[in-house]
Amino acid sequence: MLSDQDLARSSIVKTFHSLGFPDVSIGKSLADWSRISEKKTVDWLIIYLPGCMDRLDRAWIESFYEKSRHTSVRFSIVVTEQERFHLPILFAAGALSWLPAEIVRDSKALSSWITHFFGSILMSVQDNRHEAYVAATSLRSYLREAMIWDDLIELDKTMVDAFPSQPDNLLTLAESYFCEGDYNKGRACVEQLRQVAPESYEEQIQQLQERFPNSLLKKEESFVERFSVKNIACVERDVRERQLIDTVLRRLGASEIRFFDSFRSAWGTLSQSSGPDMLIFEWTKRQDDLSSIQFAQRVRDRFPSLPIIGLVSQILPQEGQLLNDLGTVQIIHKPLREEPTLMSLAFAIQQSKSPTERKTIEQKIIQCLQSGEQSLAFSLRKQFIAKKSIAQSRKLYVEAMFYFYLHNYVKARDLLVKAIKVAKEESGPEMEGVKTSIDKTVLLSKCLFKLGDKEVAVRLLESTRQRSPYNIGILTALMEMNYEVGRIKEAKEAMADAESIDAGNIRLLQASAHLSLLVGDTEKATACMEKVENLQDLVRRLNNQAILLIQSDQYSKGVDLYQSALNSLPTHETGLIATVNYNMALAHFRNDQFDKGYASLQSALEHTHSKIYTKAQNLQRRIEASQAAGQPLQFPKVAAMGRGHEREHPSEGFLQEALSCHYQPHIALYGLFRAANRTKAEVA
Amino acid sequence: MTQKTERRHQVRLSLYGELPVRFLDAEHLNEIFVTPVDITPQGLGLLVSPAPQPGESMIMQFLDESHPQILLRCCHSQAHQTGFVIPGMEALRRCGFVVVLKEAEDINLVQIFSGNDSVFIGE
Repeated sequence: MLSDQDLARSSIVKTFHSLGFPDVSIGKSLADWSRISEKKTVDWLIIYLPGCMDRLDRAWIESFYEKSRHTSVRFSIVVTEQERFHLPILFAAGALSWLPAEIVRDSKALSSWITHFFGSILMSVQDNRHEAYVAATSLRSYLREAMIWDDLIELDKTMVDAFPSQPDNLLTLAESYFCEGDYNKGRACVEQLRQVAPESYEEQIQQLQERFPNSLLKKEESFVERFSVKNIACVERDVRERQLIDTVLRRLGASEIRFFDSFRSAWGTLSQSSGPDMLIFEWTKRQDDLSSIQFAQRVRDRFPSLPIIGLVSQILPQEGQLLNDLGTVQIIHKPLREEPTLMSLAFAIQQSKSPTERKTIEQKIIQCLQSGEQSLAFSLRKQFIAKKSIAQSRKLYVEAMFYFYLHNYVKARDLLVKAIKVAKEESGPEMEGVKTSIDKTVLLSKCLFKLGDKEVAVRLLESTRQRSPYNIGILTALMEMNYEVGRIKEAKEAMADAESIDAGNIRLLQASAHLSLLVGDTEKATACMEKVENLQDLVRRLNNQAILLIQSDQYSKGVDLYQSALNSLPTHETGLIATVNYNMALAHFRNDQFDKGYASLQSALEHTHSKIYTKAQNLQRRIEASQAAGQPLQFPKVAAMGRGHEREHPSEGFLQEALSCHYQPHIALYGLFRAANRTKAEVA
Repeated sequence: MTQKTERRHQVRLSLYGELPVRFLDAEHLNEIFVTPVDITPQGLGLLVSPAPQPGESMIMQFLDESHPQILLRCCHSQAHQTGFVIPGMEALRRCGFVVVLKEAEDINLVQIFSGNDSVFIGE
């Protein structure tokens, strides 16, 4: 127990002793923690330090689990009423529970609280539930009382995604949405729960709906409201077609419809927004405007989950392939007729939000896996596998997709090879004229590349390029793969091909910046980076690449890559410059280049508002402490690679696979939950 | 049971775009609006309004008369999931149709439609 409050300390110690805990150690400040933890193994740390939540001490608590030797300790926090708003952040940092300061002086109330808390832990263990459930229950009690709906929903979504096999989390999430007043989303959760576990939760659902009668009021809803499609954008120049679309969408209840008569104006507006709920666009190519090929790919990169519908009069097979690759939910032929268009648009809206057909379920699963919506992905997978009419080859592909996103590339590869073989058997002479899908080959190529079979991977991807020559995603992947296998010329050719399709495509600009940095062309890298708004992903990939180089005994190449990034990053990207400097400092330290590392660390510390600043400060302190103690600071040679790290040996069960891959470290909500207000603070 | 077997014995391919045909109800020859969903060599999955009952037939006429008209029989008709009610199209259903001509085995809808630019058939 760490507390500077004498009364509270004695009350807690007394209570614990009376409950049969023989060994309670006491400290008066956070500084005492080192003394206590060095002497003995501690299971549970309780912190009650009123006023300790200033920036420095909160940082101490937040970085508690960054020190690996603390991973077996759990901490709970006693907070005064004024300090409670820190709780979401403390739980995101791994707190197991909280208790109000008011009760610690009342030994009866405290005893009752502790007994109740241990009861909830025991129940959790009996139900074979993760300790995150205990932490979530504790945090939820505060969030509901304080009516902090943003964080409450964030917490419940976290639980839903982290534990997809526990459908009751959906019920809790539905309740949170109802509390917030977002009945559509709440109802969607209830519907999802009914799909995942038919009838098992009917009683609880009924009780919930009785508590929130507004959740049942559906009568006034229009078709588009039912599927939460409010804001629709449409790019169509032809006045007659626009009028017809407007009529049809209004029949479906849409009121927010924005029409654009050029792709350039549409992109200008949409790229600066959070995106519409649905996009309808004509397939055309006009001078002085972006082409459909360019626009569709820019939109897909910017809004990966946005349902898109193509209005087509004439289309080449390769363009049709691209529409398919981009996950177009519907293609409608022009000239439009009202009734068929109404039906097609309604079907597209319904399928994009609540898919029931093979193709749309697949698209939704991929979107969910990409965005980390694990729970929905798992429930859709169940629905997909159960459909007898779906070809075995597609089921194998979807299974492979799950393994791919769980980084089990061996299993994904094996399933894909089987899927391709089965697809050939399924097609037979009757299906002549139907081309097999390229998605399996693209994914197989990525798996093989991850597994080190790089030559074959490049050849496979090259074969898909012929089928879908306008796909910039394939070209950028080819560019990167070719570079990796040392074919710089082919990599540059792929880049040139992609640039000839759309030199302003963000994904391409990022890949071009990446390639330019790798080949040392800082001028081109700078030019590309200046056009890209969000460079975080690029910096993350560069960091991983530099770590790989350093790990493979190419220390100077790795450092050159960092340096080249620093030379190319726009000067206003101070946060990212600090991050690169910090990472470079670590690389130097790991390779016993102390002076260079220290210089890079100082550069990182120049940017006091960067996200990395606190970490850099901590590192600086550790270095100073080690210098004062006359002991050189030790750095492990191998750096962590994050989620992208490859694992070749699949574990036995699917769920275990998911758990071991995504839910580390298993310390309450640490690594799972991210407080919404923290995100806001960081953005600010 | 027979109908069920008919529905399940072939792999369905996804189908979208515009079929170069029009559909008429076999009794009154009124036009029926459809949205294609999936296809097998001898069957079509369609959203249909107004939807026929299982056992009823409709005629598929090729707009360019490249093929003789084909009679299709509705083998299942189901309301779409909850919430999918289009204003003015309350009789819309998700239906399955099979070719019922004597020479049905010689007809391959996949091959007929896969050669058309306005139709997209996917594995």
